[in-house]
Amino acid sequence: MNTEDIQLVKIVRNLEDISIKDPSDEDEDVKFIDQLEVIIPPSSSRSDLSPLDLKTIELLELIEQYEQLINDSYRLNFINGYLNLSRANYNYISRRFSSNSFDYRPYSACKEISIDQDTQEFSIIDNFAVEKAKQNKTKSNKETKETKEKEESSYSSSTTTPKQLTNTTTTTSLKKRKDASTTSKEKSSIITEDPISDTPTKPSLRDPVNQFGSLVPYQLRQSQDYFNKALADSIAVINLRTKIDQLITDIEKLNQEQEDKEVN
Amino acid sequence: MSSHTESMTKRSLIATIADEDSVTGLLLAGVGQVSTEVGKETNFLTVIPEKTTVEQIEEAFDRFTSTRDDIAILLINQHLADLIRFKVDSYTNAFPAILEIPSKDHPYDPSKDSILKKVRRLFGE
Repeated sequence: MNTEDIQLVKIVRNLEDISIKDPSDEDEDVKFIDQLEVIIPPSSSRSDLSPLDLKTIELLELIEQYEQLINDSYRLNFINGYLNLSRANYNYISRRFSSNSFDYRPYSACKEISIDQDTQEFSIIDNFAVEKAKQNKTKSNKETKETKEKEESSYSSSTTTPKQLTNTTTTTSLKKRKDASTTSKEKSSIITEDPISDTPTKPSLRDPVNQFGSLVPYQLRQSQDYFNKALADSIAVINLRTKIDQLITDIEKLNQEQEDKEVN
Repeated sequence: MSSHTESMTKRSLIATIADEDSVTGLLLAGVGQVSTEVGKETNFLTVIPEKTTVEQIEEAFDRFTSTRDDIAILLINQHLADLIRFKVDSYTNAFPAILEIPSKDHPYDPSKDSILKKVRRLFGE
């Protein structure tokens, strides 16, 4: 037996052994794993493999990702979503969160899908979050401008001394009125120049949890969080399924071509 | 090619055929849309046991997959997909994509996963 066969036998024996290992034996496992890489080369050195083998390895890697996603995060997010929804319904027996409470007045979807034209992959666009971010930005911009203007007006009023005020109160008050009018003009000019409107605009999209009321139990919000994650996982699952399906089709074609060659 | 890309950009909604809790959860996630346009009133069907018939489920499936051109993904509970299994399995279009999701009373069953069945068939199991 050559050295490679001996290593293979050792690796197989190690994999078949289900006993709880001594921590001092871990070094031997690491050695076996290093040896394993000699037999199954890492992805960087797969140039010697046939297209069929490459596609098969890619398929196996995708299946591993798919099974991990399906059995861990995807499954658990749905379970936790249902659990919290049930808790919300149990705690508020008089007001069940179900189809009787759905809002059937016209509204747009908060979450939409965008399809990449090259890879045909799906991705989620959260319209509600985008609109909320815009609202917060305009609010913060407006607040910073108002604070700046306040600081400027307070600085200009603090420069006048009490003596000056007693001598010519009417002129200073007129000046102040003039100053006030000029600052208000400046303000209005700023407002007209600024494309951001002064009045707070209500978002056209609504938080879906509000269709069940303005004060909802925290379990319902927790359920919403889990279903948001479950939705993101669902999109990832769909993308993986599409890739796996495509690879299976390619492998079947290559298998068919190989069989035809062998027959000929 | 341009009409194909146009049709792809039109498809932006997620439709749902599921039981009450699943639809409630997915509406909380923000997939629901209600409009006054004829034929596109809602993008979800709430299946209530002993009230919703299999024909209604089939009709909703056909509406979301063939009639409507704005649906990108259809989410359907696995146990409801079993009621219309023939329709779901014979569906071959790329869009809208169909995904079977677990429900509260019927958790995910890997033995019914069509992709894993295909993989097993490929490896000769």
